[in-house]
Amino acid sequence: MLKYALKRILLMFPTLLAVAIIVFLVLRVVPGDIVALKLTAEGGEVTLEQIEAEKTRLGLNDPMHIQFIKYMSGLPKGDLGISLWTEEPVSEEISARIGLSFELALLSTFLAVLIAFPLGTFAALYRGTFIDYIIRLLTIGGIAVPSFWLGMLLIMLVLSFGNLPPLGTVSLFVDPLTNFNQMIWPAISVGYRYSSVVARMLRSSILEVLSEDYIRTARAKGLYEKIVIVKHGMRNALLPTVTVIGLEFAFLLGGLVVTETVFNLNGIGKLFVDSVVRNDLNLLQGLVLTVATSFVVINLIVDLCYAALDPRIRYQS
Amino acid sequence: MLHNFALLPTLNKLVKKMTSLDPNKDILLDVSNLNVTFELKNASVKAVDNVSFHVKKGEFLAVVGESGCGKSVSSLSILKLLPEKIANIQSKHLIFDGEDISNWSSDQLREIRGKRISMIFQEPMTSLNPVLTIGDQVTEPLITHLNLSVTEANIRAIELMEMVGIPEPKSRLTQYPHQFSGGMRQRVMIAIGLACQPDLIIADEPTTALDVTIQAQILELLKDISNRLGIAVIMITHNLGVVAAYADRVNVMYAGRIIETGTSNKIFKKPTHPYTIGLLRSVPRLDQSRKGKLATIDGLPPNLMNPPTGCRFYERCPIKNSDCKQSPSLIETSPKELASVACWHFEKAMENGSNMYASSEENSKSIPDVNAKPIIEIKNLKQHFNISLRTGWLKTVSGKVKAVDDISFSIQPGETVGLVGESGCGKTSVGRSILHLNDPTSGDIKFKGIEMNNKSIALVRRDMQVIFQDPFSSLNPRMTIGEILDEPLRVHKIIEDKEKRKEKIDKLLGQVGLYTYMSERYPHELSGGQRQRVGIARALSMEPKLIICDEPVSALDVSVQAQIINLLEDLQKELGLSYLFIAHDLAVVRHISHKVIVMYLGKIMEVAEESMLYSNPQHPYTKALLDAAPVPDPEIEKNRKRIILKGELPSPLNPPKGCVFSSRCPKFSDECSKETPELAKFKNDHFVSCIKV
Repeated sequence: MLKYALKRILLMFPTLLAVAIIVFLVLRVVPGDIVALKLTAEGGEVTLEQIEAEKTRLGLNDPMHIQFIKYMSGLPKGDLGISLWTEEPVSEEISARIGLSFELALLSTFLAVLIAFPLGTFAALYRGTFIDYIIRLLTIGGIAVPSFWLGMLLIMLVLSFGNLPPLGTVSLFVDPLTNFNQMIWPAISVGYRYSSVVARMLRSSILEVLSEDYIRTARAKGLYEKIVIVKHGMRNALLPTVTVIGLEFAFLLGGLVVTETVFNLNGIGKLFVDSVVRNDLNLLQGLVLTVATSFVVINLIVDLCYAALDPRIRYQS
Repeated sequence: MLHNFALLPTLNKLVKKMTSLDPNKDILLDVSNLNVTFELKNASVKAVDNVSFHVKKGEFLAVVGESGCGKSVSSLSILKLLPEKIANIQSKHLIFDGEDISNWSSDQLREIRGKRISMIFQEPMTSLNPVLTIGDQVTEPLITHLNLSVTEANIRAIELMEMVGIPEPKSRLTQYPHQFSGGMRQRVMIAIGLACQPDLIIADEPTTALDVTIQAQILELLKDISNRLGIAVIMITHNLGVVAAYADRVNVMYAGRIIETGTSNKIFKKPTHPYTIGLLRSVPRLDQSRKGKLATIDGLPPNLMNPPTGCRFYERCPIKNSDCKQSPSLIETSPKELASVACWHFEKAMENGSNMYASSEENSKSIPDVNAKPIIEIKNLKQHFNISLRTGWLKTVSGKVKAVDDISFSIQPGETVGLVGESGCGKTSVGRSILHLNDPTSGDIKFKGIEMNNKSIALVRRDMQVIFQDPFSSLNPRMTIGEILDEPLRVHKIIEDKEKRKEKIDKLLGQVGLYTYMSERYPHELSGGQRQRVGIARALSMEPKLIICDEPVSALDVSVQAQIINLLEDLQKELGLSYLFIAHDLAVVRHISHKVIVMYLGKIMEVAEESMLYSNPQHPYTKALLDAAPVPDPEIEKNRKRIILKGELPSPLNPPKGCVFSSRCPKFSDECSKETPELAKFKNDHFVSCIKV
């Protein structure tokens, strides 16, 4: 098991390296000029010379390979360059916001799993009955309803109760209660969809597993139905479900653009949009790398879960 | 509370003596008027219809029949192990050891499942939970039913695994099912079944998925243990040889009903039901030379969604008359032999025997043209696969699997060469190399005198066709039968004109015994046997000289298998075809082949004319194979002393040194692992690869 984990961790690095290179190259091809945008945004006339001077100052006029070497040599130290817009280090821009996004993702995942497991299991065990239909209705609703719309409804609901959480964000470590009050609403609006996806996956994989021969064997042994389902069924049904949870979690880290806007949260999703609008190549580069890294790390965690759940994977390597 | 197995047999005899006064006390399970209906969305299938039977204490009862006859369903319904939502189980009574369990809830039944009645299932590969250790799975019933602690249960599990012949049981407890071979997994299933010392074991096709030498090991084990411990066994199987070898009594089922029952001697020696008679006559015999074509029961079993009102065998019965419109019930024919039959005309059936099925006694095998040039000549064919397995970080073990290792043979026009061996012996690889589906590693293949390589294969591909094992997956489900047959004719530009192609397809369908209207049908609308006929028609459409038949009948039921074998023989005579017949069923190969090749781990062990090989086998492996396969005759089986091969096929990555068979050979001595035997002449056309011959 340890060997397997170590191997998987080492395999992460070539993947990340490839991502870094591809991101760099792709972004150099994208049209748009941040300097012109930045200077004109402040109003007033700018001359071509001024733009060129600014470009040189920011290092945008260096030959491509010099830029590449600079960028690559910074990576091992965690140096992602400076934001071309704010001129703050990219790593600081990201780390200021990643905590929030991470907390939101974690909270939504927790909520989603909490809701999805009983729902999915009950739907499978009571297949074709009223319970199953209700659960399926709920979950199809979760997939159909956009999270941000649900978010707006939630805000209105919260407002009507007069329980208005302060705008902005208070750090979890400063005032956990206020922080929870601020985070729980976006977490619910995202978690509903999330739990629906997971519950549906769980339902279908439990149904599949329950028709397997070894479940019949377990019943023929005279085991209690509870043991048959939990010990023999669930563990096998969890395998595909873990994949879905992992993928959704990784998506939440960078993909909650609209929800963050609705709840006025300053997270990674919003930063992403800003960096695109401003043509801030360095920041965008850093963000893509961050999200890619989290995808790779979460995939690793999923794979390790797989290996823990399924001995066939553990022993193959 | 560990049980002492040594005491049990004596105890059991005692119990038998005490209860022998009242015959009913001997009966362990009495099933009366069992009906099982599957309620599907838009139909209901009456899978079991009014079935009554009983099992005595310590008895070995076999239930035989073809697929879909209700043999598994009737046994599974005893413990209500069928999907609850769709299976409707009704019975007058179901008395197990004096108690009527027919109305028990699943919770009550749970208490006897695995404790007093246990089950062994068909597929050892899927019947064990892949994510739990073997130890966990073996101890579960012990912990649940006998309230043993985990440590006690583990000690007992080790005993059980030892008893079923699993080496090093202690270390294997912590392993997972995928680390066990099929045979070993089935041993584990038996260990689980025996865990609580049940009164009854229901074994549902326990060896169907296993090789014949492993089958013999498992069945001997089951018979031996159940005898010693006085456990009754219900064995569900379609293999008549297995029944003859092990069963005390037999129930024959057809289309949801028991149509005949009796001691196994009675059933095999004097069968009374036309179906039983036909079934027995339609299996080729391993122990007898061929007596002409196989008898076939025409047609197919009835559709149970809409079963016929009278006798269910009516449509296929050769001696039917108007009486048969009424359902016959089981009538006792010979109390001494515990025999009953459900047929209005059983006396007539007994009188006529197998003669009522049209089968010519003349030896209808085609006569190969021995003086002609061989249709295909294979010299020193090798097919090696390089395999690398990663065993650790940056550590790989690469090896060579010699799937086919230096084999030579030839096939004459009109000749059938049988290629037999257990799974993994390389027989399929031989077929694939000949067809150039895999590029052979080395060796010469000459087809009609043309040296074959990647270029010339295109010239002769039409002349070499193949029939596959699985008639279900080898036909495209989205094409009609007509389109399937039309495609090769069109692609190879054999017949350009569309109308003429249509004529040709109709002719082909006729040739293989299908109706022309079937060209409009899709594969799923046909039965397994009909699909295999389509596969044959597709091969024939190219007008080939050689057909490679890769296990063409192993997925089919016995009566359908006979139809297909006869068809292949007829076509051979009519068209002068040559066959390479690859199969694991020794009896089928004996029946159809002129010459037989026995393979083991990529090498030829023995080659001879069919009659020579089966009557006078020389190689220890051939002998063991023939010995392991049971024949449908209880008398022969009773007097037979089996040499059962120990162990399993060694890893092809690491075959034994010297003779590849040396690790399992009963005649093994030190020279065998030093010297690699050559295929040497024993007599005329009889070649053996063994230094002891």
